[in-house]
Amino acid sequence: MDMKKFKETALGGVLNNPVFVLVLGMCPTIGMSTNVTNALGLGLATAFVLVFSNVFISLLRRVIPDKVRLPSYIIIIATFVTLVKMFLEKFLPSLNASIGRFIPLIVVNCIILGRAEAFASKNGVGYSALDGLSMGLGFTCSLVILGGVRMLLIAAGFEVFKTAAGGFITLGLLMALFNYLLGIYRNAAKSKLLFNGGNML
Amino acid sequence: MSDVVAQKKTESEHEAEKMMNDTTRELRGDKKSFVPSGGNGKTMNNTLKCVIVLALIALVCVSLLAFANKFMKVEITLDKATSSLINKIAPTGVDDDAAFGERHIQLVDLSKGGYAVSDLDAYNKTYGTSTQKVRALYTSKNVNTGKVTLVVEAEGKGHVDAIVLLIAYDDDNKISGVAVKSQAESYWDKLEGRQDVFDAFIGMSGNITHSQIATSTGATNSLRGMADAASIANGFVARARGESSSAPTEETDEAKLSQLRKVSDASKFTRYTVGTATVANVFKGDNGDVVVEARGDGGSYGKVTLLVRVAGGKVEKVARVPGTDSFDPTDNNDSSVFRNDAVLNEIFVGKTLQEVSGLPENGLAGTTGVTESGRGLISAVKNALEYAASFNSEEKGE
Amino acid sequence: MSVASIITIVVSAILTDNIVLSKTLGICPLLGTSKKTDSAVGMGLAVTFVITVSSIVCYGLFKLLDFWNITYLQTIVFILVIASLVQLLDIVLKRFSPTLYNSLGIYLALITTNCTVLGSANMVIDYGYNLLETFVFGFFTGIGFTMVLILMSGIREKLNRTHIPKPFAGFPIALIIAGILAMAFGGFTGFSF
Repeated sequence: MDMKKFKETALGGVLNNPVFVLVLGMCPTIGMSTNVTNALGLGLATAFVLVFSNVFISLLRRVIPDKVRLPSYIIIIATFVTLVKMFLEKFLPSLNASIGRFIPLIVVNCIILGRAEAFASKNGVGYSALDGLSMGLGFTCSLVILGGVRMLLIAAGFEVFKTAAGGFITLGLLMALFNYLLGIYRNAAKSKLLFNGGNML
Repeated sequence: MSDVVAQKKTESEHEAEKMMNDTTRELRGDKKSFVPSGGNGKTMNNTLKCVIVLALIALVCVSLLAFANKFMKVEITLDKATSSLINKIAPTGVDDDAAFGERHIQLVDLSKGGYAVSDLDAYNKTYGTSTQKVRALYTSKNVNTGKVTLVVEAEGKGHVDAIVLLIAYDDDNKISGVAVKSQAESYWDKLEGRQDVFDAFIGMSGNITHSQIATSTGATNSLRGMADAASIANGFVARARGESSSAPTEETDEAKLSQLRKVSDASKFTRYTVGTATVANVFKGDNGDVVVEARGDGGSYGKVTLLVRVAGGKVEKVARVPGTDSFDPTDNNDSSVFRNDAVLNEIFVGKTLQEVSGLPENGLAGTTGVTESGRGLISAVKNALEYAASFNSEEKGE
Repeated sequence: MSVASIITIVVSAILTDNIVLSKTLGICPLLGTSKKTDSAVGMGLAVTFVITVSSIVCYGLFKLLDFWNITYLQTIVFILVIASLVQLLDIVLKRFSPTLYNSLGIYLALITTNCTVLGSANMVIDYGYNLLETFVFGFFTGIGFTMVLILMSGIREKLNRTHIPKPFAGFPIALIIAGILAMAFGGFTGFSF
């Protein structure tokens, strides 16, 4: 197995974090991060769809003609989203009551179509599944961090963080922090303090 | 160092933008080829292949979903949280753990008989709507008295989504307790802790409208959802116990009697509880008058309940049941017209079902721009006339 | 009555329940196309058009799905309707109005993955609107979206001339501005009907 590619794919969720770096999938991120439970629920639902759509699209990548690629992807993604919705309705009705309205919108989450297009349509099943998992978990983590910070702020008495406005501001601040840390990390890597031979992953 | 940070920032920004642009190009480039460019056979072959693959994928996906739908159909089971809520409104006399563990609270399987309603889906198709339905029936047995209380789980549409209520009933099919099982309302904080709102349900039966529960809460749509849920549950419990139109009782409620006297000269009335979404009750006066209490729904501002005296398939007299409509109180024009029984009588008296159906919704009483109210009133009168026809034939058959 | 309920829908779609600032949908285009007022107006108009038409088409199709008892196909059908509609618009505009196509065209393709469109199609079903209400809701949701985009672009054009701390440059500052706008719009929630 190509270790470099494996490492790159597996760490994609952090270094190419969908939320903080690629700035994709913002709507559910802000809308559903008022608490950790909702954030985790929606993150895992998205990760599930991402893994399975990646796998199926990768399997079918030689069958689907180039011209109807996107409509096919959309159908496959929408199918898995509907399955998740059915599952939530049946087995987790209370979670469904709070995040159910955002579930159908996973279809138009740019992360999923983006990964299908950029990765799954060009790579094998194993890597595609890994990419889906890494990106999905990266997305989930971002959501949970955001949800956790908002929960703390709400608990501290800042009621405004319950609203959409609080979501925008928290995400803006966290993104700035992430940029700052990533800057330090890359800077350090560049000056070879952390890695020798310029291996920056 | 900060320069590098800035540079990285712009890089990541570019990356995101590039990705968006890529998607754009792909979307555009691809979809354009949907259009068959015609011409040589090779292009046609390719187009055919595209269509076939797309159709196959769609077919497989749709069958997968249809298959999953069979197994994933939401079936209600009794969980611990629900059991605890039921224990509050219909006490078993023991704590929540024991009530659940020792099965003092149970989910009723209607198909096994014992109740006049055996199929909930069929019941909801007849009496409910897509947003107003009965979800389940539970029993709660008090260990001290041995008394079994019926609890109905029903949903109505609130401001955001369905509000699911658990409603306990006494032996007269009147509400003895209400608990909220689930809701996703954005203005729920306005109802949270309002015990008076939940207390208002107690003792009610038949169709309920939101203004009977509370006014000016700032969460009217949520109240409407709760009232809708309670209304269908009220009808259901009466029907499930087999006490529909076949179990008449004498009307003793003074408020109801005074309303009834507006449309009939009879001194005593017998009430036949119907409890559907369209007809709450039918009253029979001691002089033979038949009065139907019917509900009309013409949209968000067109909900109204009317008392309609019917004879020979024609409307004899009409009166609005106060506090049951959703007419816009800020619209003076509308209120003055439709809150006036004299105007309603002028419109409807002497008309048959066919004539009422032919009335213009928009322009009733020469008032335009009040389509929903008009539609609501017309549908209430139609419901009354329709029910009266079947009621009379039932009577003759007996 | 009817008029009042329509006004309620209009006011809530634009101000109190604004699709971007209150329902947090359509944030990708908000961040992506609000750098210049020109592109904000173009994107806003294209979205308004697509939301209005797709809400009505999806409303009709949902009645069919409901009739056949296959509502579980809602998501798949809606997204296909939206994708085809966007494609159709692309072709029609290019053929019949090249000027309009040149000003809206580049935004059209982005709209398929814009969650405001699928979001409002779903909301129309959830809220149980009738045909007229669906039309009004769709159109004014689009107008509310356009308005926020234009507001944002005005502020961001001004921001170009100020000094912003480096980690905040780009998306973070745009998000914080959106947050402040959302707070301002929060003031409208006092309007109750």
